[in-house]
Amino acid sequence: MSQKEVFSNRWGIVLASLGMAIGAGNIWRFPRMAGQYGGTFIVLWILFLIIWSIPILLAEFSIGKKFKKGVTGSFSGIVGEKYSWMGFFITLCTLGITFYYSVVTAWALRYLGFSISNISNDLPLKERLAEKPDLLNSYWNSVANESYLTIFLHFFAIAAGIFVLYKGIQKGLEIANKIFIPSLFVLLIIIAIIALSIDGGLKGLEYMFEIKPELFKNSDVWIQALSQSAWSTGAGWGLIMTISSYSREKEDVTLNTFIGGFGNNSASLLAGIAIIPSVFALADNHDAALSYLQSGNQALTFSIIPKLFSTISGGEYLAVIFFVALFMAAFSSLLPMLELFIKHLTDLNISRHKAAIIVGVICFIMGFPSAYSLHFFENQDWVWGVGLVISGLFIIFAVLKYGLIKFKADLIDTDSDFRVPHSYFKVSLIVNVLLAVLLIFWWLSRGYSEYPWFDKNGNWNIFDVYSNASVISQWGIIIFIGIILNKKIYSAYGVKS
Amino acid sequence: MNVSSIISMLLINGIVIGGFIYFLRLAIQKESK
Repeated sequence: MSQKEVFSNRWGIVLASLGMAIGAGNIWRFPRMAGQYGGTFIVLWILFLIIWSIPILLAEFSIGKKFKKGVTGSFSGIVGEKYSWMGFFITLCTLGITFYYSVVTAWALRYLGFSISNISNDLPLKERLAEKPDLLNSYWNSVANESYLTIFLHFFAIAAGIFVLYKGIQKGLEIANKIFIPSLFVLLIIIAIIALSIDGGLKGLEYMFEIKPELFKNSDVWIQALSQSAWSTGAGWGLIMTISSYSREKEDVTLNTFIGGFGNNSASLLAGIAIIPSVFALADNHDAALSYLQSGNQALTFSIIPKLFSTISGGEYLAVIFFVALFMAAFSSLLPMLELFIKHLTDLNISRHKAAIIVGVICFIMGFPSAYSLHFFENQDWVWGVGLVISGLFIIFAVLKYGLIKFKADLIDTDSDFRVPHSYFKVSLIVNVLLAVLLIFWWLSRGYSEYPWFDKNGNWNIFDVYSNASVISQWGIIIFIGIILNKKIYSAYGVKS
Repeated sequence: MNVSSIISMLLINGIVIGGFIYFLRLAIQKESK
């Protein structure tokens, strides 16, 4: 049996849930989306928190709490031997993200260093940008491609995460979250107050919360709101299943899940109130502000903030606060990802200390290509990001197989202080099956790659960053290995009920 | 800011941040019992 570690109290698990959910996506992706589509997007994003994220998180939380194992073990406990490979897929999908997520943390550290160096530089960034307009783009290229410093910081992020988790749940993860999560909220509130006090900041706020009824007819807004909720809350990742496996015997499933879901969305709104008014106040005009917010790629994500903040006095300090917040958000999400892996090793009776070191070494090696090459990073981000919807579908399948109402009565309601109606849980999970199919179909039909399936020579286009061939091949390999090894997976991790 | 944006801002923040605070308070009450 693995070591019986538990969170010391409710707040330990609540903060871990918040740390898991609040990540880089809250700090930048949400403001970008809310900036593009305004209040219409926000209304739909709240709707999908209720319909998609919370029911899946409820299911995950209760499965982890019931079986107290890693994702593969707990999942096999609920679905039985035949479908254990689905738990294996969920695990590998999230590990695929873990391997490059430490690189995002490394980028946040590099830009934090860059922002600090701007304070001590004799020539302000604004003047350096006037002399060399391409400065931030070339800096980004030096960060994201073939940079030994980025590789070192990728190693540092993993080593720091392993250092925390090596100490265990109460002395490591719990203490780290007690520091990071309240600090993150405080930093976001500080940036929001400063942003709103800049001349023109209120214009951004007005744009952010303006509901345009005609946008409800735009399918892109619906899909982006669903994607944002699915990615940002961590629904389908298996992370809350890992966290809840350390819950106390009588831990409340429903209330803790609602705190996590609404807390995650609150952090996003705060980030939106911090970023969107800043962009509107500091951009040259309304159109320039919109074009900043509509810039979708990673380069602009990391380059816009230093550029915008360089235009106001004291802006270099604001940039430092922003990147500290971004680092905290990314690091607090990296921790449960690493823990998901560690838990799979402790389930095999490997000690936590040994497991932590093994995970650290593997994550450094597997994340190396993403730290070295932006193309590789973008491919992995795309493949496993979309794969999370498959993971979500597998979790819904587990609930349906067990029996929707029975699952809710046996696993969710038993220790919950308040209960959601049966009809809500039932209808939302069934609607989610349709939403998941719609999402996957929409993503694969978007045509991000020039040759989604076959290249111009008629070959299977597996090495293209955004090709459907690459997505399907990588998913297919994991599912194939999972099905082939299903018996072994079950005998190693399975919970015999 | 126009009136409709102010109303939607209050409603959205009321539901999300208000909801978060409400659930947190509920948990604090349960824990203090």
